[in-house]
Amino acid sequence: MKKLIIALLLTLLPMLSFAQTAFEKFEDKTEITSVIVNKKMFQLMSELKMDPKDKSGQQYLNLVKKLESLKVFTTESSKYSKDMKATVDTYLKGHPLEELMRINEEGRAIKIFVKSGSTASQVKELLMFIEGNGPKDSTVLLSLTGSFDLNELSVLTDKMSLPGGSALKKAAKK
Amino acid sequence: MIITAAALLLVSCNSEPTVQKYFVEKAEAKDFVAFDIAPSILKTDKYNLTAEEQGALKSIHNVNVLVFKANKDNTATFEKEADAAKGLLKTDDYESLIKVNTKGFIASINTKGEGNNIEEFVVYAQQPENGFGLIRVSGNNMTPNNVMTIASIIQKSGIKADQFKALEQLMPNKQ
Repeated sequence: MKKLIIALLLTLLPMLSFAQTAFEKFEDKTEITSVIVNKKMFQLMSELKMDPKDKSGQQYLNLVKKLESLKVFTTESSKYSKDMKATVDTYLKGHPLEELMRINEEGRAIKIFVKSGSTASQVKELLMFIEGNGPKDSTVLLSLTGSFDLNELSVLTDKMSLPGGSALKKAAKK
Repeated sequence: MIITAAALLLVSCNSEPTVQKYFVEKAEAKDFVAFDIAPSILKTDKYNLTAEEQGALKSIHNVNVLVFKANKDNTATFEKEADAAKGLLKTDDYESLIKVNTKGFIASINTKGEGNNIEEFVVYAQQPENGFGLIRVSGNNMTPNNVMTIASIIQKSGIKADQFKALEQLMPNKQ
């Protein structure tokens, strides 16, 4: 019985970690700018003392508590842009996410996908992909996981200068 | 059976490279600079520390710094050692808090410890021209607030040592 459980665990483990490793190959490339923030960081940040009168600061701390990971990759290289697009496509096949919105902004296509939680505005995973064209127009891949409300996202875009922040704001207002 | 398992476990523990061992090993190695900072240099009356600040300082025991200085002739060693250091952070059970990679500048913050009780912080920073560095902060119950307090004391004290220059070179250029 024990052996069976261990065997089961061993086969399940790689599946659990798949979501985290799907984009890992982009982490150490010189051509790709990446920022990865993990759950522990969010946990520690939420412990920071902040002025109780600072309302936006408090809202921010409240949101941070609910986050598990944030990954942002941007690149100007057309080779890695293509690679990112392909990886996102494959990822979406294995992890069906709902398309929340699609925007065309200054010739760039912005797509935002979400995995909803218990209510419509509750989100477990958010994936944004901006396909850039050309060297000055960078491609952006952003993945945010946790258990948060879409309406809270604007707090995050205000406090952190995330690429595609204006698109995320629109998504929050939806 | 249990004894053999235990023995195996011990052996594997001992032979496994750790970040701590890396610090010891490389302290005297070519192209490396190593130094320690005792938190006591901040514990002077000069800075008029509040009780909170003193408490925060008590939570850190030791700060070890190891810097690899890159030059034209050691590119191969640079790559090898940078990969080794980054690899250790993965295998030595550190939890990654944050990791940044932009135009060749790589930095990460990693911790060991349960929940908010952090026993060890390791900061890694790498610049393509200058080399890479590791800062290891060990202590007891280093809470996020304590860490922020210490950072503010260091700023307030305006400590400037020659050794810090090696570290400054690893920071991205201020624009």
